Amino acid sequence: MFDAAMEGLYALLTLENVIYLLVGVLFGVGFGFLPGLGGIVAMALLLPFVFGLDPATAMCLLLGAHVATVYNTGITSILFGIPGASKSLALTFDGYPLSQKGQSIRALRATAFATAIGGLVGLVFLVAAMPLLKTVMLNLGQPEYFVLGVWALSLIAAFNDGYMARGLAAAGLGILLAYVGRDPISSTSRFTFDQLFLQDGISIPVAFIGLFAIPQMISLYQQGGTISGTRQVTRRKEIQKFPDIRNNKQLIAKSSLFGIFIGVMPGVGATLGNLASYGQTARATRNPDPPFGQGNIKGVVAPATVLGANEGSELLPTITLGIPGGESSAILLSALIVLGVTPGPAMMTENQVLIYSIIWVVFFAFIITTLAGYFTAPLFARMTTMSSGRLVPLVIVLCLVGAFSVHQRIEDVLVATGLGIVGYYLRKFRFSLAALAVGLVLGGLLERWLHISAETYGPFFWVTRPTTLVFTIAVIGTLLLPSLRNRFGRTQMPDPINVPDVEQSGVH
Amino acid sequence: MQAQVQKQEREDLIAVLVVFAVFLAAAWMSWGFTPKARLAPLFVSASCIVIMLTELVMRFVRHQASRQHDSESELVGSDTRDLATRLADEADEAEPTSSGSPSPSSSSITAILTMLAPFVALIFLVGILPAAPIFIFFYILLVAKSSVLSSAVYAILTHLVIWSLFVGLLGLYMYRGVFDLYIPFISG
Repeated sequence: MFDAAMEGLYALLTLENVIYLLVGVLFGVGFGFLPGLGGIVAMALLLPFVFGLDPATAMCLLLGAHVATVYNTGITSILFGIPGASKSLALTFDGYPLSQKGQSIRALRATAFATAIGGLVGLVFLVAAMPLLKTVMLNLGQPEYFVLGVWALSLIAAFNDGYMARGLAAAGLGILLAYVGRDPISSTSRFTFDQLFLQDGISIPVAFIGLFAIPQMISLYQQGGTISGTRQVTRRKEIQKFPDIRNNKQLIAKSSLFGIFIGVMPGVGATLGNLASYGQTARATRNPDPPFGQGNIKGVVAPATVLGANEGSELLPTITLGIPGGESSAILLSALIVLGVTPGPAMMTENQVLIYSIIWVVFFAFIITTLAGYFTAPLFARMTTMSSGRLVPLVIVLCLVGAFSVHQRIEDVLVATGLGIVGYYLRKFRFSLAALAVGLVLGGLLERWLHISAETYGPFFWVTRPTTLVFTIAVIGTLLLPSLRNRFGRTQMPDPINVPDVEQSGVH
Repeated sequence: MQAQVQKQEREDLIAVLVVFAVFLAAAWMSWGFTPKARLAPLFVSASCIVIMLTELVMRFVRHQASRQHDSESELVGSDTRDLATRLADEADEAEPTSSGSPSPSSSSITAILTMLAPFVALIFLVGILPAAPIFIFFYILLVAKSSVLSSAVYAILTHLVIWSLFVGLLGLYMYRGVFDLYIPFISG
């Protein structure tokens, strides 16, 4: 194993590979920031350029872009409260309040370092535990995925402090939105109102732009002033000593494990891992100061670590089983096939050097992205001092153009606008947009897992299998815990869903 | 103050009822799907109907309880404010500090009319690429009250960024509006 790892490293140490890695990272830095675009688009754009390249070189380009966008999806989450992707949703909870307090540089740099550390820990764990994780993964089936998905929804709904019913209702709305379009099982058109453009359903990037960007801009318009309201204060000594990382070593370790274990779930591991890690951190922290949802740095460090750690575990099913762990892994898979490499169990024996080259590429990409994130943080943070009169139209234009660019359908602009107006009023009346977003992401998958589980294991699959029974108990506990805590006199859980609105924000 | 509390309570109740109605409608529509297609949406709709009914009942119970405890809370000082009062107090506390700012409820409508409606209408009329700089120019000039030069610079830069990314790099076709206008150097 050590020999293969070293061979994989030597295969990378050429000028050509270094240049391609840098180009990939820079490309990813630019793309991950734009709404509607992101890691998938960045990798898809680069895919034609990998033909004819050596597999290791191709991985430098693709994975460099991908890793950079992992970090960059967090930038809009922190600066504007607009998640760049579903997996960076949890970063909005405390990241945006930190921006409002004039601490966006702190939040961005903490994100950069936490993502890198999580990624590096995830890679080490991936290498060490690859055989074991493969066994664990094969024992997790559709019933477990279903109950874990329900757990994620209950977690986010339970955080809608004092309004758990509304949180659950919002999750239900999100799930119903996910069912717009053709049912994949029976091809029945559902909730399409005979509109052709709704046959393919509501695109998640379009929905996210509508649900988060537009309400945020409406709030900023009402609030006036700037996001931060103050000039950025960078206390050089503190930032150089990285106190947010040093003081949260245990949290980073725990979140890395979350990212690794939950991240192996194909398709939604990153989203679930983020939310679960955030939820666990909020629960486990006694007397948080400031409260979660009001700019607690732990609320940024935990999900950022998961973002990075998830990268390794998303690669695991791709490499070992030939099953893409996510959309970007699907592009990676197609690139490998085009280059003549067949991912899957055989790759572990026939292309072990390439596997380790891939791991080293991700390793170096994280380091370069962290440095890029560290030095560009002040530049990005300046946007929080822009007046709303200039920021609002720019963001609105970029967001709606981004919404159009997803499928090049003008109707998506209307969908984003409509969802934005609905989202504003839902948020105003304490229906959790985060729960709605997670419901939207998980809705289709939950239905598929439910159908398969019920047909394979019967309608009571959620209690007849030991692992699903454990997860089901976790769901019940999550839903009951807020009431139990109130009954036994503990302080109510802080409301981390502090997506700012007129009531919460203001010029400082 | 009392009128504001009542207004908040009414708006909150309307919001809950609207969401309840949405779930009722979803359940009714789901009934018309094939059995496999209706399973998940019907289950979700029915569950959420129960949840919203619970919310309405709890709301009523809290409202009754807060009425009974109003006099006690004056002596004890505990926060037994009902939901509407809490919302009203939070809104009061968070009133924008800058003078001349519109009230939240009216300004959300203003925001939609000032921000979203003109831009979306422009997109449909003249297309995305011309609409973006036009909207940005006039918004920054009229709403942000910046200079003509500053507004023009923002408009041109935004157009260049959008054009180079979406048309130049991604090669996307950008919607040209109902009149299918082609404007040299601006339309994609």
